[in-house]
Amino acid sequence: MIDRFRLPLTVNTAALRDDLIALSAEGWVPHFNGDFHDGDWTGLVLRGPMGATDSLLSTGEAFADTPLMALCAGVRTLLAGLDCPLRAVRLLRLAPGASIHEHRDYDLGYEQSEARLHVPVLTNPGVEFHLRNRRVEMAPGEVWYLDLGQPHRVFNGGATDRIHLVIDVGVNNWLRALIPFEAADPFRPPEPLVDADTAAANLDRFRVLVAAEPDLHAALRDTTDRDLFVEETIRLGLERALPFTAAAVRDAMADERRRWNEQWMR
Amino acid sequence: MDAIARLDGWLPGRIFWNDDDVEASIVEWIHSDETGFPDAFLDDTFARLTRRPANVLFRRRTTLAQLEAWAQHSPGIRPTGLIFHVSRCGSTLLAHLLGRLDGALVLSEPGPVDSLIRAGDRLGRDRQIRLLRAVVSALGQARAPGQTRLFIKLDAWNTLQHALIREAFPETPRVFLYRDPVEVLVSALRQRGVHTAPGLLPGGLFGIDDEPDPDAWAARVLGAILTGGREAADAAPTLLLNYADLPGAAWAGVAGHFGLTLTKDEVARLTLASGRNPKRSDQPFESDAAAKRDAAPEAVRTLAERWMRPAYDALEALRRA
Repeated sequence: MIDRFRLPLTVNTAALRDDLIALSAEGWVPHFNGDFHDGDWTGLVLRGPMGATDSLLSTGEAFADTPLMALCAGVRTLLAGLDCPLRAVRLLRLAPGASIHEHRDYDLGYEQSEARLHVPVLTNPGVEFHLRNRRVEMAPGEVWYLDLGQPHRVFNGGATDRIHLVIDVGVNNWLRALIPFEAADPFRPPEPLVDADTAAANLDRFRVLVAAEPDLHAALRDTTDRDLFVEETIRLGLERALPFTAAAVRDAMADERRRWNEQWMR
Repeated sequence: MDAIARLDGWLPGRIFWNDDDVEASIVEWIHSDETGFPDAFLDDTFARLTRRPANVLFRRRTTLAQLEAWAQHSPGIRPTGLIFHVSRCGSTLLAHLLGRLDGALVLSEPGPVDSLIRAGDRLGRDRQIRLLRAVVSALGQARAPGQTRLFIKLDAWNTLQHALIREAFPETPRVFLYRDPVEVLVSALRQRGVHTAPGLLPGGLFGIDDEPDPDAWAARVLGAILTGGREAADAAPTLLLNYADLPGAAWAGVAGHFGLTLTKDEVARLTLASGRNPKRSDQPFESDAAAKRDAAPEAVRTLAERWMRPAYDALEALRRA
């Protein structure tokens, strides 16, 4: 299953920026996931769950446009080109210096017949969006499907706001024809089949490489999701022709935790 | 000798001593991209950082020699001031306030520093001093532009090694912070620390052969630390500071003693920050002296008077002289 895909759709970016100007007097609402971020993360709801349009919540049974949608001709044109059921439609703004910690949106996923599309409206080169620990570079004018049931984190390291139009849709045949949801993800290799001793020896060699190569360490150091960390460690080990198993990684981590804690106050 | 191990962004977290061959001891390093140590204790920061899986599986390992080489290669901020204290006396507040100064980095009870101070016979004195400087240098790397002030609040029991620490940092001003014996002992018994729980630290550190009563153990340890503070002040210039003078003494006395001239903004910031108890940031800081003294059972008073009062009185006499 892929975790990202750029849709073959064209977007009138100038029209979306005009929408932002039309909305400039509106009060942006703080995101409800207060624990998940540092800095300013706010949004505007253009379409939301009926009866709950004053928050950024995106879940519900029935959805309706808010009065703000009437101000957004560019968004309406874009949505008219999507031949699938529309759920919540929001503009989400991440201020300079703000970050969203790594998390999974468990309610979102292809299995739930829902998908989230991201359309960058304003962004800058300092924005780092990591999905499954790998960066997604999204530019204005593009439409992206992202599997946000997978761990993701965002940091706006630039000097300007990052504003994405975030469109939640129901998955139907039209969308399935556009997005190869079930295609194999080359970055999610199957777990290697190696015996425990070989796995442990290969992992040891890989750890020596990580200590020696700052870039390799940097590729692994920022993920906080334990399952993803194990998968990423295995993937990067395979890239170095060092196959090892999830059990080998978990055992080594348990050993290290024990060693570290036992050393307290020595 | 290998090329210098580059350790930018890495912090020495633990020293795994090898008692058969001290040069085979291992320093384990954890990674941080944070601009300071925002928690009340450095160990809390380490605990947070080690929740990142990479800081479990991909810690760096070096020898003591590599730690020393790194300090030579990349010197940290020169220490601005040292805080010795008897514990339960406002030292966390003082460290918190100093941390609010411009360009400040605070090491609060840094475990690897204590590990070296207590390394004892494993190392010769010269080497111990060089490594002590090296570990402070590695922990005290500037983590943000403009970071130029490094404050180190030691563990309470490190007060007894004031002479060693003086040798390592002969020019660094120091304070000794203490408090009324009954108040300290009541607080220590309510929530025991490493030094006030019998058996965690060797009694010899405090001149205790045998002490079966855990409350008496705590009183004797705290008394030994008060005595150590007085001896430190006898041996070298040391600002004596009573809890009763906090928080104002932080900007009125300590900053000046550390050679700092504070801006109006800094004084205002500290004044504002001192309204809060850093261990319980939701509650305003207030002196709990009366409450602690009133709560003391007679037995606790007796222990405090016997083991701690004489050293406290000597400190007070010296402070007022």
